[in-house]
Amino acid sequence: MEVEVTHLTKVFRTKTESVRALDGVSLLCPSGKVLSLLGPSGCGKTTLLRSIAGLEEPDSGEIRFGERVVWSKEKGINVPPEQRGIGMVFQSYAIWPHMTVFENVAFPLRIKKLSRAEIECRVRAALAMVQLSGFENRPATRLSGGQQQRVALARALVSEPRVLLFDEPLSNLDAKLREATRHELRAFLLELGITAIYVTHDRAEALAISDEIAVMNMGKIVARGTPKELYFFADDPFVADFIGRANFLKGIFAGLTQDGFAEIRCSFGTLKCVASQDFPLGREVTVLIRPESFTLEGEGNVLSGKVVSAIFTGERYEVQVRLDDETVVLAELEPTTVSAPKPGDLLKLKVRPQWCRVLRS
Amino acid sequence: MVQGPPLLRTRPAFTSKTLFILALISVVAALTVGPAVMLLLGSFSQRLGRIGPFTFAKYVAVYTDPALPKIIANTCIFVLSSSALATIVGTTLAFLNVRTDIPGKGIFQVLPLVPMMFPHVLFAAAWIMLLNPSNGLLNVWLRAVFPVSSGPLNIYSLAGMIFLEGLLDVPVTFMVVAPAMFAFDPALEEAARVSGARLGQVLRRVTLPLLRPAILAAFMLAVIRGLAAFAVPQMVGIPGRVQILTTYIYRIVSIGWSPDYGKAAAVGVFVLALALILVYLYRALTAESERFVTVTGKGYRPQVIRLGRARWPLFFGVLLFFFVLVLLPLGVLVYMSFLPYVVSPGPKAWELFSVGNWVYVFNDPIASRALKNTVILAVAGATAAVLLSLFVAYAVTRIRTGLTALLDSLTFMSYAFPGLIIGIGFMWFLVRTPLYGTVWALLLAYVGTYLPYGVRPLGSAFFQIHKDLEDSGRVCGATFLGTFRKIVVPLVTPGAFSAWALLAAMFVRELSVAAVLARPGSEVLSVQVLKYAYDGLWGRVSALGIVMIFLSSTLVAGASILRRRLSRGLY
Repeated sequence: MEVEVTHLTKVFRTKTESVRALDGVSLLCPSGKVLSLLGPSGCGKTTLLRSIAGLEEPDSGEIRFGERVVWSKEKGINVPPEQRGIGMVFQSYAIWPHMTVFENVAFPLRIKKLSRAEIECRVRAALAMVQLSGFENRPATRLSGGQQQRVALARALVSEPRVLLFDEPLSNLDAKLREATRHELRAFLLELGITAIYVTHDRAEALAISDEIAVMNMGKIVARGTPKELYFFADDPFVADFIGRANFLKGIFAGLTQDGFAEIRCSFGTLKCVASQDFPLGREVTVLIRPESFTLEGEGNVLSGKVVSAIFTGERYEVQVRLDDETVVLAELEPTTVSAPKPGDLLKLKVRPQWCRVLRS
Repeated sequence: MVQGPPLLRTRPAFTSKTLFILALISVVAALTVGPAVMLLLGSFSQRLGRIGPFTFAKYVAVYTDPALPKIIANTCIFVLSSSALATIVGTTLAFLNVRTDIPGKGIFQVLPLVPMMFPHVLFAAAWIMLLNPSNGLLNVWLRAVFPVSSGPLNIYSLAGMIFLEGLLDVPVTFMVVAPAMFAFDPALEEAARVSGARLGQVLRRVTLPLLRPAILAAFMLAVIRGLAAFAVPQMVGIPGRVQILTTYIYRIVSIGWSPDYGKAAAVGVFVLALALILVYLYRALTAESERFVTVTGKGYRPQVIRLGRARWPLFFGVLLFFFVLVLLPLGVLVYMSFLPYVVSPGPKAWELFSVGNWVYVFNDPIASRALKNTVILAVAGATAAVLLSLFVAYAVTRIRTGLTALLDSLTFMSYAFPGLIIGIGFMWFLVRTPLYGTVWALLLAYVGTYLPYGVRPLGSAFFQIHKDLEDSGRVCGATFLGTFRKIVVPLVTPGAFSAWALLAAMFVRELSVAAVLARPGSEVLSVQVLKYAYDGLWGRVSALGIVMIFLSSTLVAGASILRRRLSRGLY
């Protein structure tokens, strides 16, 4: 079932200030897709999710689940959360400490007054799905963080909702478990084919989990696309910076090459880049290059300079290189193909024009 | 293994710390275990002032008293009903304050202050003036409005006792339940909402069960206080011929030619044991409820429930409650302090209006001495208690060894102490010392009985000071004591002033310990009020009572002004 919000606004007022948590947000989550809301803290992503759940009431706009309007200021519609048919996983998991695992998961079914046999059967199935079979009678207080997260997921799924909402569900797990859970959750959501909206401030998590990502900033959606599109081809400076590590190089637009690339003249040399719009000649522009786009072999643009510092992080070398004009760029090089760079080494960094992006201005 | 000097360097610090804790333990044990043990020994002794010869006679005498079963039944009904009343009202108020959009929430902040300002004995006195069956002001008014010839309400009854004690314990239950409601992760409720539960179902199936430990804790605290209750049962129970254990004990030690402290102790031991069991159960329970709270680090914003049409009626209900709890009794005291006996407002009252009571109480030599003693006890007692609490709280929160855990338990023990009974223990403890019969005996007993009320707030004050602040003092070369004096004490000073204000106000209104220990020369205001009330001198009760309220309010206000000034200098 698709979920659509239109022109949603919400202002939080305190005695001293008012914050626009949602500033006219419109968004469509296609049926059966996983959509992430990504943004820094305070950008309004949680407010948007809670508005969709019905836990928060916006000031104006409309929220629609499929054909059914669940909230509309104009039409005076406000379906309470319990009637929206959603499942939700909270950041704190919100596992009720006074119930067992079984009772936690059975709760939505008990509210629906299903028969005992059916409850039993569906709870077991849900627990099996999250690999917690055998934990039925465990008190909820005696679960690890990862187990609590699974119980929360089972509880969200057990009533077969048509929309699943996630509020930073992995942020309370430790780093290693978080990475493992990303894989599991992605596979799980793919298999389920359920519409899911996923709030996170962790870009890696958003990239890994989602079919599509909406990046939010200051109450607005500033970019929308598939993970790969956003990562490599974002042309908004905020999005480019937020979604990954980036080098921003200043230059002047000097025309187009025959093969259709933009020529950008920087003070250390000229770069061939991709541009999504036309610029007047001589316009000052910014070029985005991801650190991992650099190599030492191959062809393309060449940036030469002196190594300032080099660290080995396991997966790669991170090298800071000072170019001729004193600009410092960050490059990530594969340790298997490169011998250890040392400060003072001269390096010729290569980057193909496809990975150099002129940002919108 | 590398051998070297570090062992030599840590050794002295270890022993001085241990000595410090052992010294604290002996002081605290003397003030808490001491009187409890003396009470036990006393109950097996023949006469006050000499332990032994060993005898069961007191137990036989007291437990074969045919009046006792009735007294125990009364005690149970009184304690359980007043606690239930206090818990229900306190929980409701906490819910209205924390979880609903009821208007005028500022009024709830008055609630924790009420027990600091309003001595129980005066609350009971004010309600006697309002609801005694012959000329109680409300009864007279009701008789004029409704066609009844007598009554209709009688405060001198078990129901009256339950009503008063229940109201007086509301702030206590409120202060236990409200923070639990604040600390509640709203996601636990939201998860139930999105699971399809309506608001009512959420409250019934998630919110209430999760708050059960806090509500139970509030109830147990009210039960412990109910067991210790003395002012209300003595003031309204005795005229109504309703005896409970504390008033029974008081009668044994205060009436007749030869008070029998052995018999009193024999009953007291039983009540004290019961209270101790309850206190440690309470402690286990609250430790459990702390474990219940799931901390996520997210800012909690409890979901506010809209009351809709019930909003204003509930608001007026709350206003009425505060009127009955504070304004009405206070107004009656002021009014009555200018009258010789209970007269309804009207021309007759205007005729009798005089400042006679005020002139009398200020010229009564015993009342003046009581005032002086009360001021000494409040100021010196609170200071001594805060100083001791400062060290104990520091040791308990910061050092954390097996010994400090023992210290913590010893301190906590005082929560169980019914003042009247532990007062009898102190009696045995001090009777052979020169302190007996002086105001200093009272001071020691006060500090021992009310120590947890100083240690608790100071403990949480210490808890908020990051350990690094202190460690950096040590790293910079200050000694353990030097760091304590220069870093810890200044940081904890605002908290110490709050604790001081609380203790000073408690010592002004203290009645039950003083009722046993005060002797001619060491009278205090609360006991003097009890005496005036016994003689039916309600005008003097009111005048002296207002002096008490004024005294404790001044001390509390003074302490908070000083605290504010100091914390401004600090940050």
